[in-house]
Amino acid sequence: MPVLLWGIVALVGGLVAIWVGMRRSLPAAEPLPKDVELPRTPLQRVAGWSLGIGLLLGAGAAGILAYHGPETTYESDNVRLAFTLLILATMVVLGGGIILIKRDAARDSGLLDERDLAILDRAPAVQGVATLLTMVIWVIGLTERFHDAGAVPVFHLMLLAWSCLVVYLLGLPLGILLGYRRR
Amino acid sequence: MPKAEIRNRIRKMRFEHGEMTQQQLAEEVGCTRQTIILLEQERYVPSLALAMRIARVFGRTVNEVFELEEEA
Repeated sequence: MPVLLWGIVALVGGLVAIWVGMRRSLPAAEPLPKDVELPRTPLQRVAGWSLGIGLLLGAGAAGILAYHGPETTYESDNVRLAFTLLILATMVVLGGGIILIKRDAARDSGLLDERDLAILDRAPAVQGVATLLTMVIWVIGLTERFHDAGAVPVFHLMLLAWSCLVVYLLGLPLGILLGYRRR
Repeated sequence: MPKAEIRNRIRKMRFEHGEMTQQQLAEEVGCTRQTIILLEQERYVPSLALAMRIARVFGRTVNEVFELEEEA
């Protein structure tokens, strides 16, 4: 199986781990009557925006990688720069969202209430598992792909590290948004 | 232990209290409007501190606003 496919499997595996972990750890909230509409809380808005923009930037980096292939992305300075900048921007947006959220929680600014704080507390519960799963899938993939060569190209190890970081950072906003859908 | 549900009269008391809006109550007790909606729909059980703040806004005791309903 090509390396890129292993990468996709690793990322999807990490995100599925977050989804399943959150669903299993908390019971589903009972549906509200149809005429009741829930306004979004400030925490939901920050998590939603940071997840949306982060995913867009991450998809841009993945697009560059898929279009040029891992070898060209690594060897061409311009392509590698564009890829790296997009990955860094993804991490800044996701990490920035997390910093904003945690700062509000620490300052007791009044934007987060007791329910928001409880959701924020349990949101990171599956981040570690998801990151480990992503890493394990990558290691299996790279071992299978480069077993005969006896060495893994440097760029593939960078991809492993980037994707683990991205899954880790995605874990919090995704955990928060899923937390609002659970009891 | 018998199964218990917490019932409340927040919606009724809000209207009795000068038709207070959910947003006004949320601001008075320091929570989001989403939490007030979920409380009124009895989908969320508040902490003791929040329950006491809500009761204080209405000038009632916690027992007058919230009620423990136990199934035998």
